Amino acid sequence: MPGASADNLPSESESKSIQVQMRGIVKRFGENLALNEVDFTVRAGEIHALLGENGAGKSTLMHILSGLLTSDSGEITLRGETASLVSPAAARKAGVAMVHQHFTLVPAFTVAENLALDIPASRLGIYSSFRAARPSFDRAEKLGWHLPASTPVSELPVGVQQRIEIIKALSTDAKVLIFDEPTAVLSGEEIKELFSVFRQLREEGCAVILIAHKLSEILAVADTVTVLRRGQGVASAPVSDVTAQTLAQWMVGENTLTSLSEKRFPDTRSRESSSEKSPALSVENVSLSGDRGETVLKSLSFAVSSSEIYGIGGVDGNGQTELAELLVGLRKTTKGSLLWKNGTFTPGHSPKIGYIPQDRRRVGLATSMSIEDNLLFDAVDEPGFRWKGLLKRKSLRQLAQVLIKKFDIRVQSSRLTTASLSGGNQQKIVVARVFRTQPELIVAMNPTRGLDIGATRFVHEQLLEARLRGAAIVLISTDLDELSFLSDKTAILSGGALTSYRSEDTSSTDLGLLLGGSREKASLRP
Amino acid sequence: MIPPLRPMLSRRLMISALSTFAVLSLFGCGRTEPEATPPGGATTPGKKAEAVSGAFKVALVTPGSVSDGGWNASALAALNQIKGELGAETQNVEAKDASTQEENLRSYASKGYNIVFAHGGEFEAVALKIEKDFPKTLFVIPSGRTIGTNTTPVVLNLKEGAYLAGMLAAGMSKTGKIASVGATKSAVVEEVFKAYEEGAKAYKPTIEVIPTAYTNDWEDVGKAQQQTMALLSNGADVILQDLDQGAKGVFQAVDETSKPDKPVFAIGTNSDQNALSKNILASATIDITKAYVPIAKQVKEGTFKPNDTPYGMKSGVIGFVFNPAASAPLSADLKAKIDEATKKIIDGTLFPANSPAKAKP
Amino acid sequence: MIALLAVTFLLLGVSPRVGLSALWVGAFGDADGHLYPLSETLVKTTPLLLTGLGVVVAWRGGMFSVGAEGQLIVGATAGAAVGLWGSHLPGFLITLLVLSAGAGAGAAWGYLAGWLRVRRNVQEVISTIMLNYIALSLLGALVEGPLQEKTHRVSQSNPLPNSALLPHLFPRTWTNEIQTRLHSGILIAVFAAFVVMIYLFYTAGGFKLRVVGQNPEAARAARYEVDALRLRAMLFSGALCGLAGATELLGITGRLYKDFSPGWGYTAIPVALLGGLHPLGTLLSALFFGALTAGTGHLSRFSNVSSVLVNVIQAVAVLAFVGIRAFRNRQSGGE
Repeated sequence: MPGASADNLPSESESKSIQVQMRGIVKRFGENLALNEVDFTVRAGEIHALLGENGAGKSTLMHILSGLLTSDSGEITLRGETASLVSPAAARKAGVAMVHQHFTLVPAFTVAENLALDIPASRLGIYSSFRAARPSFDRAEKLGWHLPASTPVSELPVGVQQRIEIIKALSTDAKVLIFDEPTAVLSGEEIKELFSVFRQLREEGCAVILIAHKLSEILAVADTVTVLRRGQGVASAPVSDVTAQTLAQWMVGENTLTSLSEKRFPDTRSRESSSEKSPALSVENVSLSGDRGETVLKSLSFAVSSSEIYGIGGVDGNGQTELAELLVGLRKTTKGSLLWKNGTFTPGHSPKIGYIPQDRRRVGLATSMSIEDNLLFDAVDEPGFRWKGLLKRKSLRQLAQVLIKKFDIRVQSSRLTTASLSGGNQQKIVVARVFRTQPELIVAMNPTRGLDIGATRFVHEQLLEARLRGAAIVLISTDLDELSFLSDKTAILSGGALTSYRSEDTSSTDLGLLLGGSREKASLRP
Repeated sequence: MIPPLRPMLSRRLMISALSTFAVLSLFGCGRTEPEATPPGGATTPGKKAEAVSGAFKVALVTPGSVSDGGWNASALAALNQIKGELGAETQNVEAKDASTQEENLRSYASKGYNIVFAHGGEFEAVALKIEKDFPKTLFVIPSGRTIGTNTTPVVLNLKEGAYLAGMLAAGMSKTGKIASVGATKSAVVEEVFKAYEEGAKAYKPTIEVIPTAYTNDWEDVGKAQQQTMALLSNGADVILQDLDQGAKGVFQAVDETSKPDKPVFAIGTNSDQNALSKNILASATIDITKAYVPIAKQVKEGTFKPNDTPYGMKSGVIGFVFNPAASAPLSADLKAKIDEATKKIIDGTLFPANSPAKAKP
Repeated sequence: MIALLAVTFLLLGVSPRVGLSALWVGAFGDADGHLYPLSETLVKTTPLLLTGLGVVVAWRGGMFSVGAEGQLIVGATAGAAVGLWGSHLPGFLITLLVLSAGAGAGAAWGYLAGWLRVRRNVQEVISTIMLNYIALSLLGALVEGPLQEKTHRVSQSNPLPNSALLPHLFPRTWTNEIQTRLHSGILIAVFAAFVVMIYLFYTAGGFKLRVVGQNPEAARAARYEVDALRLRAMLFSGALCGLAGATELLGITGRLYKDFSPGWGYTAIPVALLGGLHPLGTLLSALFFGALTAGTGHLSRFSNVSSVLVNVIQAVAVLAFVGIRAFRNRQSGGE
């Protein structure tokens, strides 16, 4: 595979040959012009970041390249030859593969079966998923990954699932690999590893396209960056020539912006005063068993005051989801107790609860229902919106319109399904629903995962505003930067146990060890 | 998927409209139908209808497929004869299940059909229920029992044939035991088997008649075969059946059991089944054509009135046919006695199972 | 669709012109204003609409019940039992009793499946099929046993008192003075369609039910009582199907018998799906199926097409309808 592109276009001025050239790509969805005459060029042996806000057209452009969509006009050449990428299969044949943000694995199948899905069965008709997937496993070993062949995918952490996706993409001898926001689901350590895989692929001569919106990641790993804004190409430049500030300007299109990635909100935090307050939520020696009876949380104790954000970090699958569900009243403790302002904890009444669940598509929203309906999950229960058992549809609709405006949810019509929205707008619906009721306790799980800068800032602002209003907030996140940025207190949940840390005093090495669950080795003062 | 429709009425208006609707539909209960007073004058029981003017239309509703080679096929044959002889316009349909009976009868009647032959006793309740809505249509129910305003039963004296079958069975039995297989127990069916027993005892008072075995299914071949096997192993050697498709099970069991030194026999009913096996001694037949065609003729002429006068051997509807290919010959004495009884039945001097004195000419 | 039907008729050896006009006449009536067939279309619409609505409610709540048939049968059976037991009462009282007994029994039958799902995690698809069998056998045992008519001739019950039956609706002047059997059950069914619409789209309970149906996880995260909502869906769905049985009993048959339903509860599923699981859509699709059933019945009576082939025509019509819809959706849907 390495050097496969060397014989094509030898007269190219640079040493790296052009792998992908998209010219004048236009794509419409109904009246909506998603891509307007976009040009995009990727060379072999480079990591090319495609940057833009949610809805800028990055995914659409890449879906055209990977054959999921066809463009209305425009031309695509691969290694100098005109390519007709009418289907994902055709794109794969042409050496283009995509690793999606939402995985395309069959959850109930084992790793081997998932890897064997794309591979034709042997001629004898005797089928062994292990044998069929053998080359894929070899490929994984080359990247230093050991995949558990006979474990069902649903039992694996997301990071490993993503590796399987990557191996699937590689198994078709892809020359061009597209990654759609690959770091959204990963923790810090996993992101580093992923980047080293990108570099390894670059050495092998692949072109790696990275759809991203985290500037720091782009600056860390990419060679070249192309920025899209509202369906148009804004700029394309080597990463060495740009700063975070220029990228942010290209992306948002405002010259007045100061360094976005570094921007902090007016510091409303007063760390000193919060420690003196009496706790609003007290968690005392709480243990919890999971759905299959396994111990998920081990004697957790912590307290959260009003006007305080308590940040809990850690890798997914260490009891985060269960803790969140416990705090919002969806689970019962096996041992220990929860107190609210030293009284009984009756979620819904005392305190009023706002819950931003981890997975907005799976848990946060009913995606096949309308935007309006999704905004009204709680409102339908309130007496103000009912008249003799019937719903006041008009008032509810007005409420939905108010929320759409107030939370800046960008929709064409509130009657469309939420499935049609970008991730950022979907999350805004969840946030709008939660914050409308002015909850006293907010539990937010990875509230900004997969969101662009604007949407992330919006969610952060909302959390800080709620904090200012007096809410007690438990923020569970895998993004340690987010935690240290927002939280008054921080802790790591690992293996069902909680270790608090002060972000100022803790080295990244120690954090890494904490995340990995080795509390003893980390040089921490509890 | 259709998106939720926009509310078109104001809520209050909608609710009041709907509640009115509900009250009307619920409390307007009970049926207050006007007495059937057709323009052509009311029909009362026993009153003759007028002769048919205009197109003469006849329909047939069968409980099963008309390609069954038996009960339903014979009805279609009758219908075709009516079409040919009387120039009637005819239609027929199969009412596959009970829930479509009424629909089919009503449909023909609503189209002004003069006669609807509803080919089975199971149609009687429905016909009596709807007859008042269609006073110009005559519903004909074979094996029925109730005379309605414009519904007539066709009482079939199959028992006359069964009486002869009993004599034959008693005469042919070597073991001195005979038996019978029926489907569902009903008065009509029980009369058939009673006549069978009477005939047997009349020929040979010492004969043992095993009580009828019922399968509860007119069509189930397997059940009929099992029941027959049980009877044969009990020592019976002649079996009368009164089944539809189930009859095949009886014949199969008999054919399997019969050996040259120990022959066993069956007797057919409802249609001439003699060709099905050489072990069938004879068949007590029903020729529905001989009942349906005269009824149609009288309706056309305007002379018919609903009645329950039975159709027996005299009218030719019921017959008794020996199997010329039967494996065992019958004695001259037996033959003579059966012929004599046949004559008496036709003359009206012998009444198997108390068949009423009145009989069709 | 008409073209497809025409081709089917050709394949069956019937002149398409004759076949299609027979379908039309059988569903809507002659050109001379003889509207008797229209009444038959509405007669068939009634149970299809009520059971279809039952399916809508259950499926909207994410309960993929196929138990409409069984619920209809227990509804009719309970209605008949109560009606015969109270036959000495005044007519309107019997009517009310029969209708409530029918709805109640259907609801109980639905609740059973819901309970099995919620408490014992038995898939409702399986439990409702089993409950259908039980209902059918129960009906058979009753009409051949304790509920059989006095004369014990046929597997059917005694007739309910005339005074209890639902009144006839269709004006006789529309049908050349012929009495139709269209009864006020159609009003109950249409009323029920509006009730279901109000429930699903204008009450908090219905709203939550839809959320549960679309995404139970999201409903749980919103701290809805998912189990209670599912049970309520099955209860309501069962009541509608039971009501279908009771109205059929009071409007059409007047008595209970063995083959009481020709499969209304099974046809209800395509009726509801074709109606987009929307109550008003279901109203239209029940009319379509009603017309189709009446039309094909007419075809089998007044042409040489055998009753088995008539089923083929029915299936082709439904497939054509579904296919056309899917095609349209695809064209307008875009993604």
